[in-house]
Amino acid sequence: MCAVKRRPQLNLEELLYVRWILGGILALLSVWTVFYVDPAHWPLAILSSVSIATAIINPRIPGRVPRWVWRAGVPLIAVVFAVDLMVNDLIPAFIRLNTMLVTWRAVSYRSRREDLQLAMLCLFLIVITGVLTVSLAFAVQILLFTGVGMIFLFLVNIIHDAGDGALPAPAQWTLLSRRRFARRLWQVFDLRVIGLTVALFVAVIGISVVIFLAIPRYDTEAGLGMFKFSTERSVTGFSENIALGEVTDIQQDNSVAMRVDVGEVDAIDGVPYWRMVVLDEYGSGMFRVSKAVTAHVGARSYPYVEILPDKAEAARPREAAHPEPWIVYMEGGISRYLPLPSGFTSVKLKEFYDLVPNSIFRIYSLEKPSATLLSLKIEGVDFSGVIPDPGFPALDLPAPQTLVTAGDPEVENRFPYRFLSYPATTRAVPVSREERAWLAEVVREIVGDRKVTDAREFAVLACRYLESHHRYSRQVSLPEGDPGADPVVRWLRSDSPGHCEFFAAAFTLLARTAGFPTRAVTGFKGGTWNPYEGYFMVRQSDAHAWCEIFDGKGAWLRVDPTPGAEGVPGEPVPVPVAAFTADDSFSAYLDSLRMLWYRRIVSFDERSQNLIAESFRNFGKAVWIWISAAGATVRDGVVAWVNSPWTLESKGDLLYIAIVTLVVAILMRRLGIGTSDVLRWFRHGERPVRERAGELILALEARMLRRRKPRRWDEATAERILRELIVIRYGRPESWPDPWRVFRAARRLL
Amino acid sequence: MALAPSSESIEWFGPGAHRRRWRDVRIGRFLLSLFIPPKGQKVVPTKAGLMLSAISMFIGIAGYNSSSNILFITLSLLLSAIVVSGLLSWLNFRSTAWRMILQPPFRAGERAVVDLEVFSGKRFLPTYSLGFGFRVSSGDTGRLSLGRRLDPGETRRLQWSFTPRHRGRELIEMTGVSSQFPFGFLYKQFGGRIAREVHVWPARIAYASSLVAQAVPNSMGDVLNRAGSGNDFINLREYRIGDSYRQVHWKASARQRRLMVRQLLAENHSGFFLQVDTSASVWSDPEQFEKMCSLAATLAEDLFRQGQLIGAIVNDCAPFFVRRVADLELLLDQLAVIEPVDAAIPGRVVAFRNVIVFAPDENEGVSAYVRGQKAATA
Repeated sequence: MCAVKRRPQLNLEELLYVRWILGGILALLSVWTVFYVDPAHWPLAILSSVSIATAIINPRIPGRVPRWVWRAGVPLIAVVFAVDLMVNDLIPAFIRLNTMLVTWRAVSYRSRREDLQLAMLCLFLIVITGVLTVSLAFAVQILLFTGVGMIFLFLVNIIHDAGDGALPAPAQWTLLSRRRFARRLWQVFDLRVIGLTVALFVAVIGISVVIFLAIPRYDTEAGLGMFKFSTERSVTGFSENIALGEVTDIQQDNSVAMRVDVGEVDAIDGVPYWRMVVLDEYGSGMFRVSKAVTAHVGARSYPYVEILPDKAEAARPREAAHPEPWIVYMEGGISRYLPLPSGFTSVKLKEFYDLVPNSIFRIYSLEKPSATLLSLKIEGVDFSGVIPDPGFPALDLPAPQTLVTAGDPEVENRFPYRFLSYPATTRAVPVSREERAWLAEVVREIVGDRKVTDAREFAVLACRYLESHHRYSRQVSLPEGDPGADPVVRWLRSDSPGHCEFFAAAFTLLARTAGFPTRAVTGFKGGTWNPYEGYFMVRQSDAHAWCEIFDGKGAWLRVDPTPGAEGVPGEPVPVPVAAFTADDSFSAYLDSLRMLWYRRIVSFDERSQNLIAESFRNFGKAVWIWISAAGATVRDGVVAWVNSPWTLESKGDLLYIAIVTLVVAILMRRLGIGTSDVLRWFRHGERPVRERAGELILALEARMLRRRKPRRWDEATAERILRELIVIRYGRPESWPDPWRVFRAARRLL
Repeated sequence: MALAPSSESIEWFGPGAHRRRWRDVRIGRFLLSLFIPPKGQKVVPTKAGLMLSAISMFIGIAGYNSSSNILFITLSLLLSAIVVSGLLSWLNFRSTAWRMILQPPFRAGERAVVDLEVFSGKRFLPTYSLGFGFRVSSGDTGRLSLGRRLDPGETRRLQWSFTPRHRGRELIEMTGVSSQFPFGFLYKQFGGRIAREVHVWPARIAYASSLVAQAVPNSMGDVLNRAGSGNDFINLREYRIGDSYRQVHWKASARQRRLMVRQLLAENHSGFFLQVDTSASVWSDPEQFEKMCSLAATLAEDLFRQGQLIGAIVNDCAPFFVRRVADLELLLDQLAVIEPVDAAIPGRVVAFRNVIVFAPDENEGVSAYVRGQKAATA
């Protein structure tokens, strides 16, 4: 028996302590996923984290808690959940319940069954939050959870077996000195074990990757919305009421709001404008979606999995549309309005969503902002800035002069502003008479003596006017003036710089004064190209406000009067606008990891699976072609060699090789050397005689036991050789017969 | 691959019991064994394993219904954990061998010990969480756990004990080796059943004796189980100064090329011969019969210790001398399995005067008689 070098190992109490720590880490990992869900859960998550961390650091604390507290805990959690369920939605209540249960289990002393419960609860929490957030953090946390969870379950099993069902009371293992425990851990620390654990973890990940790729996917068009999670959190600049400056406030945030997978960088041939909210009503520095429009389109939602354009949209020319679909991943909590281009042929959602369609503005919104990532697959993306609306001219649009409001009691009596209905709201200039007169003056200054009836032409002139009088700045300070005056007119009268909302509002007032129906739009403009993973990043700082002016023929034209923007699409601009810039910063690199996650993992579907299968097939084919070609080359070479004349010059080498091989074979047979001996000799060199004899004894005995014997087998000879081999194996060297003779004989017999 | 230590004669079982070479491995059979466990082996999910399967199924269904790859990731991790669990379990059993070592004597009513030696022939990986099931034919069952880790190359002896209730033949079985290693999801049972039949000797019994008083000298020629100057040959040994030349064994001396002398048994004049008659007509009461067996076994042992036991005869079997411990054990083995027989013709022991026979007594007792005189009562 070989000498065994025993490695030190932890005793049962120490193992229980490790299990306690690992259980706590597992719980912490799962509770931390709650931070990614919704800020409403943060207080509970912080409380849980602190409790668990305290219990990990000092495991004696749970022992000091009175027993009645432990008894009352679970019923109390049940009551809290019931109340929570009555007040809130199911999913948030369920997350809170799960968090409380995980915390409860993590801070209480556990049996084996309760350890398994803890692992299961943690898994549930991680999976539910992962499904809700679809964030990259889930990937990191599920991997960590897998690693820690496996070690935890391993320990639980080992402890159960070592303790044979009876474990020491917590009072024993919680009294372990932390310093001594750390020293013991250092004693048992073994790099090989660490390496093995890492290898095992890598194996688990590798196998799971294979399983993930191999799990059959079926393109079901849309999944059931089992884990939808909405939030009250939303960016105020993307809502139905927008005060001046709210969009600019969004711009202060540099976080990524949307990631757009466009395939190739060449797919972006202009500045993308993502329409989210269209606001037709203006008053006192505030844009709104008029009540008339809201009342007209209603607030009722319908389940959508694909948004298809209406007749007018479908009939528009498609020259500007991108042939490849674009996939938009919008982060949660941005807005309930979907970011859409000017035109599209279809918008596919990942699963069924209840959407509120606004057929007047061609926008769509969720009932509440999604707390989680929302992905849209948009086909026929068109950023031409033209939104068909053939029904608009047929609407009852009052004459411009009748649409004055504040400060004009006569008109206000006849057309009370609050009762203006769409489309009147798109032409209303709700300012005082004096301001209106001033605006009319400005319009005359813009158009000159000409009578401009073309909306496009007016838009170009108005944009030039605004650009020549105001600079762009995010910091705006309105000049002193009458506090009751309209803030946009005050700004317009000054030469102060302004941000996009001022320019959009000013253009709106001017265009309406000139008699062109105009509305404001908020959304995102532009973005940056991420070269690491090849996609388009739209940040919150890309939030923007612009206008849409009705061309009088049946379409709305996008007009971006902010200096430096494109102005009117298709019209020349003083300074060409770059469609986008590339961002190769470190934050862009980090963001590319997220995109990698969304693109390769979250969006992995039947098509991706088919592509992988196809690439495997192609690889197999390529290998087969290579082997076939190599085989054919070898075959042709052999055939050519055989067909060449058989002379001593050409085939002499073959004869020489054959003779040498024959001689070597005869010699080996005579000497009793097998090919395996030669191979072993090359690998290990010469082996001791006793070892060789031992192997031959085993081989000979095995042959003796077999029914089928070789033709040259002779029982008596075998017995004799076996005896001689035994002498060589165990006897004194002086008593040995000639080992090589015996080996030869044994080989021949075998 | 490692070979279990084979210095002792008791056979090793388990995957590490025999040296296996790669050329002996049949690939087809190996692959088949991955899906269909070989005979005697089985893999059963534990409660935790069933729960894991149910969770996996739930997550899989939810994944298909919601087309959520997050759920598919979780599912693939759970499934890979099960796969790795099977792989680790296989590695855990690999190159492990065990053997059962019995520690006789086994006596009714007394604690019997069964040793199990476990050996790990692995070079690097330790072995964990092995459980060994035990069962005896009288109904006792038990389980031994490996407990702490078994390091590579280490041999550990585990002990299981039970108390045989009755004399007779007892089959001691190690029913198999099982393990829930590594995560407790799967309960893997590795066959490797070992069974040994042992004789459980009759229980010792308290008795009142006046045997020595009843003893009378036997006739010449009776022997004792110690060396002396009788006629029965027991052994050859090397010549020592003082040995009689008449004792020299010349043929053996010539063969060994050194002087060898005969060792002879001493003769006895006052020993006892045990005669056990199990006629059913005599022993109609089973309890009395058991008591007789116990008395006979106890007397045999006591007399042997005192050097007073010459030999024994059971029913019509051939009488035999009890000279060594092995002879006594043979007698006790016989007493362990005797049953009442219908028509036993007791063997005759004419050469000895001190023959102990047994007969039922009143009050369900049993007495031993020497030449018709009651000599011991139980």
